[in-house]
Amino acid sequence: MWRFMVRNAGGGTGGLAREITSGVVGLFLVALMGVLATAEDAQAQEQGSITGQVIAAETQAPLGQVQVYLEGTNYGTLTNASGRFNLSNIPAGDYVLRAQRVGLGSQEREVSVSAGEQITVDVELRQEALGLDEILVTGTAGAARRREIGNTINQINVADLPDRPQQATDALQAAAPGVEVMSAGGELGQGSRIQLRGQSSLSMTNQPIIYIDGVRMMSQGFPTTGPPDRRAGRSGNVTQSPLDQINPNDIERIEIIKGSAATTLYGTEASAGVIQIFTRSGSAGAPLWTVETQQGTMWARNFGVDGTNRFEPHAEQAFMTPFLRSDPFGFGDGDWGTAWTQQYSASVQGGGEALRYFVSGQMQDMTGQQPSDALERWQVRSNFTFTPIDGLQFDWNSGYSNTWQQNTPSANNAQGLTLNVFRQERNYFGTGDFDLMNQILVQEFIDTIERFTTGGTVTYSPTSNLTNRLTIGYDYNQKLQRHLRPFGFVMTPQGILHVNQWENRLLTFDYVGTYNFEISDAVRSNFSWGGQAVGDDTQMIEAFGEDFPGAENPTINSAAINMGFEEREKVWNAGFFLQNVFDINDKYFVTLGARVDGNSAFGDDFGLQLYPKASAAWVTSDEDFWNPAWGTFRLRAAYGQSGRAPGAFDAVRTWDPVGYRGAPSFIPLNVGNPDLGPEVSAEFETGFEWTTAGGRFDVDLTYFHQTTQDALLDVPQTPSMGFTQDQALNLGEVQNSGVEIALNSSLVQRQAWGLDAGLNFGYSTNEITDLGTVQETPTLRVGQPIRPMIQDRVINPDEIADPELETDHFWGPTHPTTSISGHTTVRLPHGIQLSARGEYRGGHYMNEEVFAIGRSVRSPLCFEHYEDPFLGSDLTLKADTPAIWRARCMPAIAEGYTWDASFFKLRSVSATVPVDFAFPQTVNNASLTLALNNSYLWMKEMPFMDPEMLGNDGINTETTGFSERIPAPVTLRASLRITF
Amino acid sequence: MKVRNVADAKPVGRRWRLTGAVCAATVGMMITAGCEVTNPGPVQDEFLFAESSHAPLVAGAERRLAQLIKNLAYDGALMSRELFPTGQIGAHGHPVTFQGGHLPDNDTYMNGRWNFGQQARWIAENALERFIEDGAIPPEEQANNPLITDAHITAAFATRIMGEHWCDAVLDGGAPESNEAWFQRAEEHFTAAIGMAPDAQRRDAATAGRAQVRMWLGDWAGAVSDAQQISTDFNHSAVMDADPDGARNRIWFSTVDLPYRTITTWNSWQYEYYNETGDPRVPSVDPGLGFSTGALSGFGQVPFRRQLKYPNGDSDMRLAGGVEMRLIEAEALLREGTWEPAMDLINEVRTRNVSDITGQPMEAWSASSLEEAWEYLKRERFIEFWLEGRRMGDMRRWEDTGAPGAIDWMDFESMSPIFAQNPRSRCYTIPTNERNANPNVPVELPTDIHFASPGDTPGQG
Repeated sequence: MWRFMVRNAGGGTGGLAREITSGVVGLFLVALMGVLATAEDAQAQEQGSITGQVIAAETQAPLGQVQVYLEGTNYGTLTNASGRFNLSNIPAGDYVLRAQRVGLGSQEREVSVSAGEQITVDVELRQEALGLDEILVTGTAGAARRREIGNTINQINVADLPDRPQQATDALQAAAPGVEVMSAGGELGQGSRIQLRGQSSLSMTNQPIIYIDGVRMMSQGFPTTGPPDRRAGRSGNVTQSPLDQINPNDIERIEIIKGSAATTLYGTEASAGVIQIFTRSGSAGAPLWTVETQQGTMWARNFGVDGTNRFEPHAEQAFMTPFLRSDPFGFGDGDWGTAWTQQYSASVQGGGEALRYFVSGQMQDMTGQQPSDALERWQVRSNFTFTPIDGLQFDWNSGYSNTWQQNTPSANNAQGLTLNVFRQERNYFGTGDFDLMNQILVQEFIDTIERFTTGGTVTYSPTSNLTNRLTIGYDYNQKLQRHLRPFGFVMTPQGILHVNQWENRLLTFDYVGTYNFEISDAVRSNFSWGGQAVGDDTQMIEAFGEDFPGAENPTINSAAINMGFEEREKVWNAGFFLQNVFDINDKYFVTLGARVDGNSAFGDDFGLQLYPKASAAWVTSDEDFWNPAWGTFRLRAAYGQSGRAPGAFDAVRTWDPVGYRGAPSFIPLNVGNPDLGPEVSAEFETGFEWTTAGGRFDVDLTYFHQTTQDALLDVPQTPSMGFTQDQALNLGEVQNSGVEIALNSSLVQRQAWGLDAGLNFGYSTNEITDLGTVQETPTLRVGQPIRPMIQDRVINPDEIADPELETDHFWGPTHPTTSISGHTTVRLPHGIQLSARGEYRGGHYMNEEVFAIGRSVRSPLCFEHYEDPFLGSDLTLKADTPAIWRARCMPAIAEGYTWDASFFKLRSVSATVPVDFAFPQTVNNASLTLALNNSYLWMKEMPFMDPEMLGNDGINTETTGFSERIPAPVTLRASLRITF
Repeated sequence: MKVRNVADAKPVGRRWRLTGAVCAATVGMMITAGCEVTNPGPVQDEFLFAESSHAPLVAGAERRLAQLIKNLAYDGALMSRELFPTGQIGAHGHPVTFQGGHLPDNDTYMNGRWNFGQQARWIAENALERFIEDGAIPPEEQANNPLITDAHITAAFATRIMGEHWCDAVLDGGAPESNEAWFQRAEEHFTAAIGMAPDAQRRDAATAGRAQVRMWLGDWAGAVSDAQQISTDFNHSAVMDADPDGARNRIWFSTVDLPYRTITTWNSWQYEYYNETGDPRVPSVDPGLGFSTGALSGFGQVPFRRQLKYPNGDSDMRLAGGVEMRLIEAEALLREGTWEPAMDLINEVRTRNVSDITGQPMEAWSASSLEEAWEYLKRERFIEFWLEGRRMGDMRRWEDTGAPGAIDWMDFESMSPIFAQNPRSRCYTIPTNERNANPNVPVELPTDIHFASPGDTPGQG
């Protein structure tokens, strides 16, 4: 009885989870049967039908997921994995049948249907060369064909992903060069951080802004908070990603633009890139249903010292083994059972010429690898397209999600499970005893997240060469954290309740007009103008109660001591732009444009910011000298600027109102800077796209160089002058540059067999080139990268002697410089498909030792060097211990924990098998997918943990760090998807 | 439904006008909406001239003063061996070197404390500038004004505390000065406060504070003159309020097991002395929690003993009092070589207290020489001002002025190598945040003058 049960504060999950599971499964089956029965009834009324197969022209291989419909009618469907389709109940008559799929051309056939007859129509689709005429939206004014655009745009067709992603961020993982998705940790519901082309800002976020169907949505992670006493870590430390609140099945495609050369028209806030998500829209035709169930499990990889440690049976998982759910194959202690995930999705799309719709819903129910981790989510979406008259279209897209999750107290949390387990007898209990550690789990950390995005777009084209598009959108995010340390909890015997309600609202107004006209026979002009305003409003209300009278389900008011807190922050950014694209013979394209922005965070004396852009594209393969056998080729180059705004309060001289002795008091907060403006990134990028070998091989290469001027630096203030908080000043300069290469090939193309492989390569470095008047520090220095790894280094590591340390050694960047991801798909007879995807990231360093050696914790890393590894209080090392291990294992030193953090991960291995045979004929597409994610990790130097972890601030941080987290688990999922 | 082609129905000029109007309205709305936002929360500077802001402004300085003393008393207890470290680092703990008694010059640990002290003084002086020079308080209301008096007193105590702990002074973005500059600034403020104090409590607080700084400045006649005006029962304290983000008594929190048992009285001189005498000024207890939360390098887990001087998060911390005035008078006498009347004053302080063990007044000390009297004076200050952030300054002052007589100094070196490895810092160097931001202060400071050599007996001239 999903979500219909009243969940009282602090309720457990055991029996309830089972009840929910059975209830949901029941509902799903009833709905499925009902729908199938309806379909069978419809079939009984058949008048005529069309069947056939869609295949690839080049290989004769069947093509799935192709939309096949009769123009001007409500009849349509998708092909199954064998490329077959069936349109039934077609009234007799003449029709135009169209078959199309993103990335492939479309084909039309005239067909004539007679009553009681079935006709067969086979269609061949041809791979579009470079997708040159593919329409792209992100970063362009209105929309543009790919051939016109001077910068690279990555497009991810989510339906093409072989492993049925469970989260929207999974769809971005290793999907394109220069796209980095970093897992924050292994807690259930934990988000992933996204960065494009590395880092270019010293003090502001390097995460891109995100749009969904033209509406700006929240891009930072949901915050995690703790009790209001600077112990923010006293929670589950889970920072959820707003992207993960979107049903990946609802996404049609994702467009990514990465640098300022491409993001100019988004102005301030866009220099870290833009990601735009396009959800599915309805297509004309009969209702097309898609239902999917996904069942899965997860388990921890070894993340301790190694799997065969002879001193401690659980050291291979840093002593956490007894507290983790066991793997489904029976290994592990099993005290907590096995983690289980289940997911049910359904969608229907269809409509007529005037009104088309896409409606979907999804439910997820999961338990995680840690004992208290549980998550329930449901989400719905409705997208409508209304075309009342030619030239006028309304799109209204809305999505809502509701997530309930409970997490284990973990990460760097003195009252958390992982920290105390890692530290064993040196923890806050003075023992690693299982029963005592178990007491930690009486804490209840429950987060409830609601997300709602709605946006309406009116597109008005009074003439064929004039288009106006106005979008108004609203994005609402709420996270309610209710964290209870109940009465009787060993560390807070009187109990503590902390409730935090955080809300973020984004309001988007976006207008763009485009007018096409001919300058001469050879030259056309595409002139665009528009403006955009985005309001970002964040509010937080927090209540804290301490000392309860023993009640089991307390509220804040039942506490003897209670406190309340509130924060509000609003930022508006608004700007307008002009752009013109000169189209010369449909081969040469020159774009000139500029955007002017104002922002409420700019200083009073700053004014407006201008961001210019210019780009050129040349479809070389359209030239006469080009031999068509060479394939298609396009050269491009672009220059553009965009920015990042300072913080909401940075420009203003302010005082912090704080309480003292029950009365107000003021302390200096921000010294202020009326001249404060955005940091401005100027980027030049150039590259080419080439498809050859009959469309079987394509390469996309891009070089970029970005200079960020007026970089915002948090400049320390002179404490004896009163203000001690760093002040943002436009002083610095950062340069970053790199190369991105995407290779895709169809190595084997046979009708029944096929082998596709692809490789993405990304390399980027950054360097601070100017700090203005700011004093250099070891971690902030001209010539060094942003956020360098500066740590002591043992200079005599192998010597049998005490370590000699070089202090403040520069190791290198903390952010990966190189990423290489590969993916391959093997197509077998009968539509069976095997896929794999892996990713290497390297060139960076991490420093962390997890076991708090400095606190005299007996580290399993050091077992082989202790005189007596069993005696907890004696950390004496053997006489022949090398210097590096003396540095690592002696509490007074605790150095030598900087590692080359390069790694390779097998992100996904999956198999898809068509199972249409198991269903009635009305089901035109059924497939079963098995996916194993995160199953293999290779690390260059690090002997434990996982280099893909972020600290307590999770995805809202710019640096990596273990912070007593555990790594993301291995997941195994089976998905059954049916379309009818 | 019949589809009508709009393009055929309207003249082109009208379509353009419509498009232009929509476009202009939209862009205008965007720009207008864009840049005028006033966020609630932080208070803009100009609002502080309002009368309603005057008291909160002075309260801000007092809050920073409370945060200064609560932290320096906590840190100073380690540096001067009033407590024993437990190995706790990170949250509510101390760097290993600091536990050993040493603050490296480039350590950032004291940056926050420096900020508290500088802000306590600066906010108070900023308030005085607004009240007096900018006329936020009308001239006719300035005489005997309690807010102005409180601002002077707060600035004065903040600078006195900074002077006792830091080796050098930096004021208002200037160059480093002798630490006398702290006391001179404090004396000016105390004198101003005495001249305008609207009541006896404020006047006595300022007078007692001036006696403290005059003692540091070597003006013993002035110090005694001020001290003699203060009754022995008088106390002036920094008010703690249990606010975790503000003025919660840190020594209480570090020993209250929430969940930190960061520091222990075990192995301190006062712990041994309390168990022996029951002197209520240095109370400790074994709460039965076993060990502290950390583990000391080379020693292991340290037995946990809880201080009871500050029983709550809002236990106030004394800044000045009549008892100290008697001890200042006694020290002045000792400096003149008159040790017997000095002992009377020392014992007057001592015998006011009733033993927790015997229920009787504490036994008077009996000295037989000037040097012995000095030792009792030093011991009595050690006992009386335990965990009040005074010990570190006393030791340095006695060293600098060649005061005779040993102090009670526990042998920590035999417990863990971190003590021998970290030569004791007599005072704190100007912290890195001031050095990095203030162009008048060199980034690199000489490092050899601030340490006592290992093996020196601290506090002895």
